[in-house]
Amino acid sequence: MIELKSVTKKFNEAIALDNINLNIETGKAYGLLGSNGAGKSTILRLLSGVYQCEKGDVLIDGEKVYDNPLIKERVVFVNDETVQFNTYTLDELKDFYKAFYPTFSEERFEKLWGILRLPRNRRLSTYSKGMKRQAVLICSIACQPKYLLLDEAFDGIDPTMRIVVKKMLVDAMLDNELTVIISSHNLGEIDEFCDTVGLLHKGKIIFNRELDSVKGNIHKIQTAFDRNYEKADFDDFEVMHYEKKGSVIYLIAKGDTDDITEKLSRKNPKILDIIPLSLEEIFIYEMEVLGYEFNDININ
Amino acid sequence: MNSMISTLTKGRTFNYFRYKCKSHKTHLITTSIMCTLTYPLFFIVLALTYSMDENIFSSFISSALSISILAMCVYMFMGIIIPTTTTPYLHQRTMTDLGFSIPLNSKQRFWGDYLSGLFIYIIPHIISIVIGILLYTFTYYNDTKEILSELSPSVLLSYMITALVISIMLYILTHLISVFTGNSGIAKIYAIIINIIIPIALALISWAIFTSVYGADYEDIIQKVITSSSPIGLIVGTILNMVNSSSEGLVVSYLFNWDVFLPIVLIFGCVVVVTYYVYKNRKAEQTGSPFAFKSIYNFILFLIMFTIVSGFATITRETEGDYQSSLFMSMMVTSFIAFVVLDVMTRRDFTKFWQSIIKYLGMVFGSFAIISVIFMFDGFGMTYIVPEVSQVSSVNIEYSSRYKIMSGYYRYSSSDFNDVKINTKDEEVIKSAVDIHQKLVDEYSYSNEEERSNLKNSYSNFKITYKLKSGGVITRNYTVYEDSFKEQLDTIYSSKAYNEFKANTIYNTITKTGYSAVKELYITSLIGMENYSSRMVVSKSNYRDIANALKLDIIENDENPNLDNEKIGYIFITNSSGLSDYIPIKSYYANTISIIENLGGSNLLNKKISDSISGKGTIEIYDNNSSSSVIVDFRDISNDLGKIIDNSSVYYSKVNSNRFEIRVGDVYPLILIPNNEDESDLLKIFQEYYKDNQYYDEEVYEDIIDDDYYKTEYYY
Repeated sequence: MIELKSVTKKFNEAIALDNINLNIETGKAYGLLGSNGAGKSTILRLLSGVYQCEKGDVLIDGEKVYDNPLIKERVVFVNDETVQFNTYTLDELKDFYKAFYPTFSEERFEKLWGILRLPRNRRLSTYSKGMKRQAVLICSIACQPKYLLLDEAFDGIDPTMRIVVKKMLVDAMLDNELTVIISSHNLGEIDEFCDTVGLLHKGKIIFNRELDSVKGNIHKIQTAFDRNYEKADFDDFEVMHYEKKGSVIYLIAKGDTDDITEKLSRKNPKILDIIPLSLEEIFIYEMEVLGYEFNDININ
Repeated sequence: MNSMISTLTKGRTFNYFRYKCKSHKTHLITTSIMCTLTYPLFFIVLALTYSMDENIFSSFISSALSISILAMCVYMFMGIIIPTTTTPYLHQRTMTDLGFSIPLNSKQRFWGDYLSGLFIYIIPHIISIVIGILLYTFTYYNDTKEILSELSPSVLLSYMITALVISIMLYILTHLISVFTGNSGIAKIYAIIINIIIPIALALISWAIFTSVYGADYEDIIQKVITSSSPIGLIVGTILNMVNSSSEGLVVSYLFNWDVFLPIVLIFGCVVVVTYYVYKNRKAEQTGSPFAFKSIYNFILFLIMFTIVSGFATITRETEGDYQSSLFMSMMVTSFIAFVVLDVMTRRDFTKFWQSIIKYLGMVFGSFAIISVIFMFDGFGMTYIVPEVSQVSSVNIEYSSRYKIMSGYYRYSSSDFNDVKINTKDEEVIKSAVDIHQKLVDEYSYSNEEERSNLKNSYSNFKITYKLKSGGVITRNYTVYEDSFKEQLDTIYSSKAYNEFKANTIYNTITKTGYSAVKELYITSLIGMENYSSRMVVSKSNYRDIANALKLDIIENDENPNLDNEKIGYIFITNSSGLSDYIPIKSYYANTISIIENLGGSNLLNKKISDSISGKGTIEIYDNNSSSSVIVDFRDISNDLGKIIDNSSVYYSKVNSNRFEIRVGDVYPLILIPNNEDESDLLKIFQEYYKDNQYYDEEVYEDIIDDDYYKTEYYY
């Protein structure tokens, strides 16, 4: 169980995380969403014991993480860099993790390596970006941690290998009750992999919910009426985005589908289509509500 | 230490230590190669060539020495490279997550890093010392040609250990800078700057403070301060000590003094503790910025500015005339260039440059203010501090006396001093030291510049170190004219401490081995040492017996060293470099006389000079500016001095000479040093001397002393 209790993290005077509270249950795949500088990587660094928060508590399994090797042994953090391992060969990288993680499984490593077949005695500097990621990921999974923190971890891996790596992660989750926290701007990936997501903006948590619940609560609506309706005419439910093209009105609305359908039906629409939103679209509309400008983006 | 060891042996830290050693094996290989090229290579070459022809030997040795010195320089430089590269997560953002997220706490990570770096750096050095000293010891004991006799293995080992300590100090200091900085380039540059600036800054600050304190022993203080505070300082201190003690041959390294070694251990122990606490409080997000702690950057910058300002200010103070304004301008330009270079290099930015200018002016004028206060108040009033006798637990007095330690006679040459060193709790001696000190403060302080400059130009050093009952230490080092403090010095000369010092000096001189060992020792009568019939050579096997007997006699009899009228003969010694001295044998030296009698030399004792006076003599008159050439006159004398030296020649002598030597027969010359400018007095002494005494004897000598016209002594 991961708990962030009233956590504030500052960099000099800039507030990176502002009094946030977050709980992530064991065995979940959690996706961290947010704009650049929202505080996603900061959360991962707090959870891996790299950063120390100024206020609040960062707890894993009920204990503070910072400077606590017993807890840090249960956490592996894979960040968005790969250059730190450039001088290592795959075997040296394995030895590195093995030296610090008592739960490291040589057997699992060999099994994972058997799938990816990466060169073992070449320096990682000669690997492609995607290969480096795969190397770090198999070492991380072989550590058999309880918590795996991935910051843009799939960046650079080709689509085929992504599927393989995700499969490895899912296996690890099933075998070891692994909790995976992924921070990524590739929302499709989080959409596919995570069961819970949290949206961060300017150091605050906007929401922290099951992905299905998030998706089920925001809808894209295409509708047309024989009358001329403006945005204010739809104030009986929460409209996040309003756009009119000709006689067709495009709405992004929050709330229960049945409730919204019933309210719109009262206005006798000529057309009424409710279309499910992708996570990416949800993210964009949520951010728009929060004042993140997308003036030059055509949503259709 | 215990905590460190227990931390190290705990699995997690040891794993990390082992991993770090393994991952930095390139450094280990480099240090190993460099260390092999230092002592082992040099001493292998020495062992193989010392018995060869001299030309071949020196050519091989000089080549090996060049390689060894170069390798040692590279090795020392590794002391900057290793601490700044073995903790990349402190200096590269890309490494931060990896470094801080591994399952270690900061204590385990710190000691793992610290000790692995030290291990990589130091272990090859220690191994090379062991190999080097074994090789040298083997060569030394097989050296039948005695070309290595000047350097014993123990002395050599002391210098090897000094080099090891220097490298450890370098590592410790660089590691401190490494944890303060957030960028490896800045870490290396500031490690070099700090290593250089610390000894210079401390030397200049000490100089500024202690030159303001008249009499403060700043050279000694500065040497100790810089030696204890930085690796470069220890190198300088060691070299200075080697140079200063070169007359005694190569002595054990300066490091092997408790007052040097202990401060090093304490200061660098504190540096390690500070490094640990800085590391512990350092945040991961500080990696990447030039300095993890901005205040440290400002402190280093201020230290550099203060060093420049205090250096120029102290030079300006000692400089007279129109140079002061140009020195001020030079100081401003130098400090500004240094500031801009460091500030731009560190911030890599010209924005807010005006803020930097304000900071620069603040630092320079702040430094000026501190220096001005030091100068204005004579080093914070330390000039005038003289302790009360009741406050002092012991006093150490060191001075260059113009009285011979062994014979007690006055020496005439301004370059011929004898180092006296006594340490005592004797209240009388403490009182004398305090009186001398008080007199110096009263009469020769800064307010009396003329007197001070007179003293500066001549006479002997007089160093007093008080150990106070409170635990404090006060050290002052004045230049004094010894006879101005005759009363106080007589108390010191009459003290048991001086007597012991004298007895030990004589004992050590006679029993010394090696470079300055006594080469020849003989017993001589009072009548001239050139006369071989009046002396008896003593074999080396008896030196120690004579030394022991003399020591016992001097200490037991608690004699006044200047009391000369009981002497009945001399013990005369020379060493291999031709230096000689003689020790009067007093009538009450029962132990010494007994040994001389056993050796068959009793006939030489109690012989009067007057017994052997015969024939004509010479007068030599020496010029003021020359200590050894006859300038005015050189002629035979007859019984009647008036016939030989007329008034005009003596007058001329009086103006230009600083001493006369009168030789009569084979008696050694009696030195007469005029200190009264009255011509008639000068003539009177000569005339009386030769009219009434056709030979020298003790009474005349005493008369001349009592007349206080001349200082006299036998000259050999």
